[in-house]
Order: sequence, then structure tokens, then C-alpha cells
Amino acid sequence: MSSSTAHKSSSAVEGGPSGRVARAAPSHEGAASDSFSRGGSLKISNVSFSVGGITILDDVSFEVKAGELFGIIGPNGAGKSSLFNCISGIYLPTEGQIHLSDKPIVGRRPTAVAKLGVARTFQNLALFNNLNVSDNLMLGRHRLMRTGYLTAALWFGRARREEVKHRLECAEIIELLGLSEVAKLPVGVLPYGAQKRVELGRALVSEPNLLLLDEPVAGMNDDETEQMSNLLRNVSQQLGITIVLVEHDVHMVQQLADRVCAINFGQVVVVGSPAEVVTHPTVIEAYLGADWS
Amino acid sequence: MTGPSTKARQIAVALWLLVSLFVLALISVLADGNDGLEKFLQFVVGGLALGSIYSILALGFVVIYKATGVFNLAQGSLVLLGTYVLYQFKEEYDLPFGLALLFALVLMAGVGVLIERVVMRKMLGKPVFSAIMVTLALLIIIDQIVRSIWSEPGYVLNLPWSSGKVDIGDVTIRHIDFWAVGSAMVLLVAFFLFFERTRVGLGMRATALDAEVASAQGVRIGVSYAMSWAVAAVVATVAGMILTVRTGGGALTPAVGYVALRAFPAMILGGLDSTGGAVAGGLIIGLAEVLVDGYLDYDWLGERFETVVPYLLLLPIMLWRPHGLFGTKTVERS
Amino acid sequence: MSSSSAPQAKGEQGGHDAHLDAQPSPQHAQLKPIALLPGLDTKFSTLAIALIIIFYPVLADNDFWTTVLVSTGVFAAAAIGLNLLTGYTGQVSLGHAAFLTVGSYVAAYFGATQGLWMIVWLPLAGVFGAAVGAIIGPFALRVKGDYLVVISLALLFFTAHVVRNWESVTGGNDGISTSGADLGLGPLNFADLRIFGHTFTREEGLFYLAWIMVGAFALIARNVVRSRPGRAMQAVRDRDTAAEVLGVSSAQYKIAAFVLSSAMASAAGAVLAVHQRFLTPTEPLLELFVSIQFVAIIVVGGVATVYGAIIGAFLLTVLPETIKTYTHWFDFNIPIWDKKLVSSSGIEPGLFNPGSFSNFLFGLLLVVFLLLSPQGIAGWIRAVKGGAIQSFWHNLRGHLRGRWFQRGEPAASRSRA
Repeated sequence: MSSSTAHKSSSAVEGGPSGRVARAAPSHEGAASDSFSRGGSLKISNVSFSVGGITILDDVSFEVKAGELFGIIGPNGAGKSSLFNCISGIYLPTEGQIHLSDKPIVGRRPTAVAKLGVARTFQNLALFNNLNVSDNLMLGRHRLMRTGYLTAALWFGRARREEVKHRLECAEIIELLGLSEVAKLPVGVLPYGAQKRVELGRALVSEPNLLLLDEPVAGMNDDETEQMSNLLRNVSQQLGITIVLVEHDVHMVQQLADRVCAINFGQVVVVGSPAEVVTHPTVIEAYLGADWS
Repeated sequence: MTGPSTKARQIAVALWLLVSLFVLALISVLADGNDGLEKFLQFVVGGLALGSIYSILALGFVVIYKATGVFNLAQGSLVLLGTYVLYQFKEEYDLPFGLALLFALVLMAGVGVLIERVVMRKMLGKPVFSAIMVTLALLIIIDQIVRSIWSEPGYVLNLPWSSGKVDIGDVTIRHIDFWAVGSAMVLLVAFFLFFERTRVGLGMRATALDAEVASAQGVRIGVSYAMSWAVAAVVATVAGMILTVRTGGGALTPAVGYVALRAFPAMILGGLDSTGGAVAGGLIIGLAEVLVDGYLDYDWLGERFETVVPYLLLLPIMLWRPHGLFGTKTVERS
Repeated sequence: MSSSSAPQAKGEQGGHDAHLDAQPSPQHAQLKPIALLPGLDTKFSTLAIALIIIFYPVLADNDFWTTVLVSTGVFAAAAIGLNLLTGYTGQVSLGHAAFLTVGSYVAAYFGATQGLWMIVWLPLAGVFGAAVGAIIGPFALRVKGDYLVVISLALLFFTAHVVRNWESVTGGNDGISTSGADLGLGPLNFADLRIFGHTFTREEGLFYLAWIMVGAFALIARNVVRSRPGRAMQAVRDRDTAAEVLGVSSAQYKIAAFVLSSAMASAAGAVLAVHQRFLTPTEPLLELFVSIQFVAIIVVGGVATVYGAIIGAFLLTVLPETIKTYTHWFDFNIPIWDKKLVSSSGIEPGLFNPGSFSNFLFGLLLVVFLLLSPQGIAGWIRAVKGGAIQSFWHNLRGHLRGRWFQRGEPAASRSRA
């Protein structure tokens, strides 16, 4: 917690929905600060990934410190999402190693990676549309729960207790994200922006050490982007979770991230502070040359 | 995805088939001497003929799957209906065979179009599960209609080449076997040309890949869908006719639709979207069934063991290649 | 593929029903687990149905309908199992009838031939069914969607083959009697039930046995789907990659769904066997027809709902019998054609006989439901109950858009109010 709050002091609380965040946060800390307070470090070493003879990632290496908010930028098809898929175990890198707080994660199945405390969101939303907001978040806590078929079938006692306890945890995040009023609605009927928040919430409730966010503001307008930025800043500061953010919107990353990595054609162009990265000649060239929208 | 390796795999499967047939031939010669070889060849002929019928049935599945993405479990009932319609024209209305077949095929094509327009068209965009269930419901409905219209026992379909046969050495080949293998080959070539060379065929493939894009390219999707059902119904009629004459000597029973259940393994063995795979799968299953019936005569396997052979063969192959031998890995539809 | 074959259960049951019972304060509502029977209306209707079932054999003295309702119970119990697999986990199976067959012969062998107690052979049927389900499970992991449908057909062929040939256990083609199977449960003997001085026939005893099983399975299914494993199953159904990323092992839950559903089907099959008194081998085609009936039950009743399976089973077992009873309604000549639509005697020429007519209507019913009402009867119930709530949703959607992410004035003042 301390490491993350040290280098960010500006307050995100400026009315609007983020005001809700500020109000909700203290009660939240009181309930679960212990389990939320540790972020993990991420180390990507020489990761390459190719499929069908096409190289998508080429010798990618960088490190993310514990508690850091790290941005990855790059044009479409640069391999950003593939990198996330490698980290979360959906893709198996052809070469290289990935460490989460010194534990190697290449070769682990997505479920195993999730058990290490890696949570993520997807570029094109991967919510369970038939389930309501509350149940989507409860699925985020799946790995923290124990109830199996037998316990569930008996219901009274353990299963019920666990259900109540974890719904309480989810309710706090739901409140934090301003989704209380729609908590019982199937996510499929919610507007896009709310769905984005549900997905973030589902990742947050899993008490992650590492949070991978794939384009959290894609398709949002300026105000929505602003609100999401505030939210992420709050999460980073108050919960101390390490966040890696893939984003198209360079301005947002520039304002938000502690450090940034630029990727182009599957290769790391530069890693450094936001100011360093956006003034890097290759990045500028890519800006003008490629589609950075 | 499977581009370069498909051809290699086709060759590999063909080689594997030939080699295993050769090994079997060798074993049978070693076991029974010269008689063994004749016995073996006789089985191979039977297997190829049966396999060809399965292939024809599988082609009917594949054409609908390729064009509309629907897994048509009602194919068996189209076989059933087609056979009885042919019987109606040939025996009840006493038309010459060629004319009766033509009328039957035209009528069945109409039935196919009707099913597509009235029922299947409404299932577009619905979950795949619902589409499968609708075809199952059609299976039941058509089955009951056929059983009701032709409810008396003892219909017999007499075709000009019902009983002829040729002797080559000691191996007897029935004319109907030629018809079976010949029809399968002709249909395979026709399908290939249709899907690869004609505008409508290419349009159908494009529609299956992405209906919206195809529509934007000027493909008339409705025509593609209706065509595929018409073709499937026609093909089913041919299969039913050959099957009835070959196995029952022309005696019709509603059980003819049951053969489709045994053709399912043939179809998915080859891969749902592969015409070549349909034929390969059909031949493999047909040969396996006949050879097992002929050679594996052990009591502990139980009577009519050959009926489970297609499925026994299917399970390990599906574990190895979950999309069939030549099927393409389906894109996740969400 | 699996996600595509997942039935689109709009408004999944638990969440949806819970919503109908919306609390004045949503913050508190989310803290509560999903209720077993959400809402007063559900509680009352369940109670009413339970009372009808309990008193039916006492009040109605009709052996025929009691017999039909035993099958209803058996089918409902098995359909609850299939719904866990197909409705909640999204695995389409046409092999469900095979599991009933397994259970039937377990009852015949251990119950009738070996003479074991019911408290042994009934659970044993479940165990055997679970074991067969566990064998099929791994195929479901590797093979998906349409291909899995065909793999599940293999089960029908295998069980039919084994039943025909394993004569020492199954009686082979001669069949085997199950009427000797013990039906005792402690002081109760379902074959000769006496409660409060009222004596029940064997059929009525089986009626109670079947419906107790339905109650137990419904309770288990409902408890499972409203807690962790049930949510995981639905996650696997909707998006298995996303589920994996959350730590939900799709392999584990798919296999578990197969095991649970086949155990339920198998136990139901055991009771069905005792009900039928005599078992003979059937053709795979007929088994397929039974399997289709099960899928039809959950489609007509409502995919991914527990009560839907019961409603569906009721309709699809009672309706054919009703049609058969009232075939004389349809016993008229078709215009132009010199045939009757349905020949109730079966002697005069008719397009259908009563049996084939009800099968035909069954197929037609299935098509109509799939085309027009894919949510099944559960969908109707939701629509009736949710008429007001539907418009509420729409309003809320608009409200939400305005409130959270709208250009211009932040909505802070409103949220404080």
C-alpha cells in the first residue's frame, strides 16, 4: 500500500461519480484492507509468440514493479492483447518466461494463473450476459470460495454462510462502482459503460495481486474516459494493486500511468516514464505513420 | 488454419487405409489360403458399397452444414420420405424408373426448399442448440407422416437393376454395388465442382463463413440456404433408394431412416464441413462394419456387434482430432 | 462452440426471479443469497403444488392417471438432471435415455435379481449412472457442440448393445422382471403403503416415491445453481475462456455436470424400471426418441430453470395420454381424401393412429416452441410476472445512461438527493 501511495498524491475526488468512490472507499478499507494491500510484481523476459508462422510477439521484455500502474500503448495489431493472453495463460508463448512475484507462470493453465491472483478484463467485454451483476462479481470471487457440489446441495450451514460473506464483499465493490441499483439485472441489458464497470468489478473482487486491463476506455467518450481514469487511480492508490493497462488512448495513459511501454509490430519500442515514451522518435513516427487514432 | 496440412492429411489417411487393407488382405491370405483372398475381396466390395451409401448420406449432411451451419439430424427422415415417394411414383403410379426417379427427386427438392423456407429460415440467428432441436422435431414429424401415409406392410420397390450381378473370378459384385459406388463418386465430383467452380456454390460457402459479408457481395443468401436443403433432400433420396434395394431386396420399411443414425459417425469422422471427408468417413465406416462383421466372429462381442463398430471407431478418432479428420476448427460463435 | 450451443436463457433463473422480488433497498438485497423459492408467489405456488401431489392419491382413485403421473415424476426427475447439463452447463446431449437404461438394469439386477433393499439399489443406480457419465465427460472436454451430439448418440448404441448381449444380467432379448425389487424405506414400504389408516396401492406408493425423488432432485439442483458450482456451470456455458481466467475450471465443471445429470437420470431410470415391472431391450432409434423427449421437456418447460423441467415433464407425459383419451375428437374424415385424420379404433383407414398422432403433435409442439417461444413456459411465467418489470428495465436503462456517463452536468447532485 505504502509504495503505491508514495508516488501519487493528486486527488481524484472531484465530484461526480468519483465522489461516490471517495465515500465508499473508507468503509471498504475497513473491511478488507488486509487482503487487498499487496500488489505483485510482473517480469516479462524475452517472450515471443507466433501462430501459423506469423510472429505476433517478438522478444518482449519489461518489468512492472509491485503496486505500479503500468501502461502499454501501441497501434492496432501490435500484439498488446496477445501479450495479455500469454500472461493469463490463454496463449502459450513460443519462447520466454513470465514471472509473477518470482513465480514462473508460463505453462500454467488460465485457472492456475488465476489462482496466483491475476485478474483481467477483455477488450471486447467477456461478461456472463445471462447472469446478473451481482452473480458476475460472485464469479470473480470463485477462486476465494470453497463450496463444492455436496456442500451446495445441503445448503444450510457452510454453503449459506460462505454465500452471505462473499456477497457482502461483492456488494462493497458494486457500491464502489455505482452499480447498486442494477445489481440484480442481467448484465446483458446494461449499457456499454456499465458493462465495462461490471467487468472491472469482477476483476477487482477477486482480490488480485495483478490486474490486467485491456482497453478499459475503448468506445467511451471523454467524460466516461475521465470517470474511468479517476476510478483506476483510486483503485491503484487505495488498494495498492499492481495494474497493467493496455490502451489505445495515449493521453489517458500519459496522465494515469507511472511508467509506459510502447509496442509496435510485436516488439518493445521503449519503456520509461510517460513523458519519455511520448517524445520518443519511433513512437512519434508510429503516431504519424500508423493508425493511433 | 488447416490450409497446407489438409492435403497432407488426406494423403496420409488414404495411405493408412490402403496399408491397413493390404495388411488385412495379407492376414486373410495367410490364414485361409487362396479362398481367404476371395473372401476378403468380397468383404471389401461389400464394405465399399455400404461405405458409399454412408458417403452419400454424409454428403447430404455436409451440404447443409457448409451452407447454413446447421447440423441436420433430420437427414434420416429425408431418406425415409424420399424412398417412399420414389416408391409411390414407381410402383403405385406405375411410371418407368427414369421418370419416377426424376419426379421423386424434383418433389423431394421441393420438400427440402419447403422445410427451409417454412421452418429453418426462422431459426437463423437462433442458438445452434435450437436449430439442432428443430431438425430433431422435423425428424419426428416426417417419420410419423410417412408411417401414417404408407401404413400397410409389404411395400416393395422393384428397380431394373435390383438383382443383377457380375462375377469377377470368385468375387461376386451386384449391380447395385456399382450403382452405390458410382453414385457416391459422381456426387463427390459434382459437389466438388459445385462448391469450387460455380457461382452458386461459392456463394453458399461464402454465406456459411459470413452471411453478412456474402450478402454485401451480392450473394443471394436465401437461394443458397434453400438450394442446400434441396440438394440434401435429393441426395437423401438417392441414398434411400440404393439402400432399400441393396439391403432389403427392395422391401420398404420405416427403418430405412434408421441408417442415418449409423451414418452420423461417417459424417463427423470426416469433419462436418468437408465433402472429401464425408466420402472418406463413409468408406472407412462402411469397410470397418463389413470387415468386422465378416471376421470378428466372437461370441463375447455379442450379436450384431457391427452396429456399434462405427461408434467404437469414432471415439478414439474424435479424441485425437475433435473436428474430424478433415474438418476445420470452427470459429467460436458467441 | 460450446458457448454458441448454450441456450440463450435470457434472464437466468436465479437472478431473474430474485429480481422480481425486488427489495425496496437494493443494497440490502444484494447481500442476501438467492432464495430457494424467490418471492411470495413462488413460495405459495410451490406449496400448493406440493399439497396437490400429497393428497392426489388420497383423493383421486384413478389408477390410470396415477400411473401416468408416476412417469411424469420419473421424467421430471431425469429432466432436472438434463437441465443441469444442457440448460446450465450448455452441453447438448442426446444420450440421456442411455442413463435411464443403465439405472433400469441396475434396479433389475440388484433390486429384483439380487434382492437387495431399496436403500441399496436406488443409490447404486445413481452411482452407476455417475460412473458412465464420468466416462463420457472427457469427450465433452475435447469434442464440442455438434460433434458432441453425435458422440452422445454412441451411448445409446453401446447401452443397447450391452443390454441385448449381457444375458446373465439383463436377460438379453427375453427381458427381465423388476417386480420383485424391494421398495422399503425404513418403516415405509412403497409397494404397500399405509399411512394414518389409509392403504395405498403399489402404483400410488410409486407415485409418492417418484415425487419424493423429484422434490429431492429439485432441492439439490436449486441449491447447486444458486451457489458457487451453479454459477461456475453457467459461466462455462456462456464463455468458457472468461470462466477459466476467473479460475473456474471448465473441465471440472463439465465433467461434474455430466456426472450429476447422469446420476439423476439413472436413479430416475431405476424407479421407472420398477414402475414398468418388466424390461426388454429397445432399439437405439427408440432410445433416441426418448432422449429427444427429454430435451423437448426442458425446451418446452424452460431452459435453465428447475421448475421448467417439472412443468415440461408434466405437459409431455400428460398431454399424449390426454390426446389418446380424446382421439374421438379428431376422428373425422379429411375433406377430399377418403381417410380419417385419426382412426381411434385403428381398424378403419386413418391418417394417424392415436399413438402416431400424439407423436406427430409432440414434434409439432417442439417446433412451435422453438420458433415462437424458445424460453418455454418459464418464459411465459416470467412475462406474466414481469410485465411491469419489463418497462421498469427500460426506464432504468435510460435512467442509467443519463446518470452515469452523460456529457455535461455531472449527476452528482442527483445522486446525493
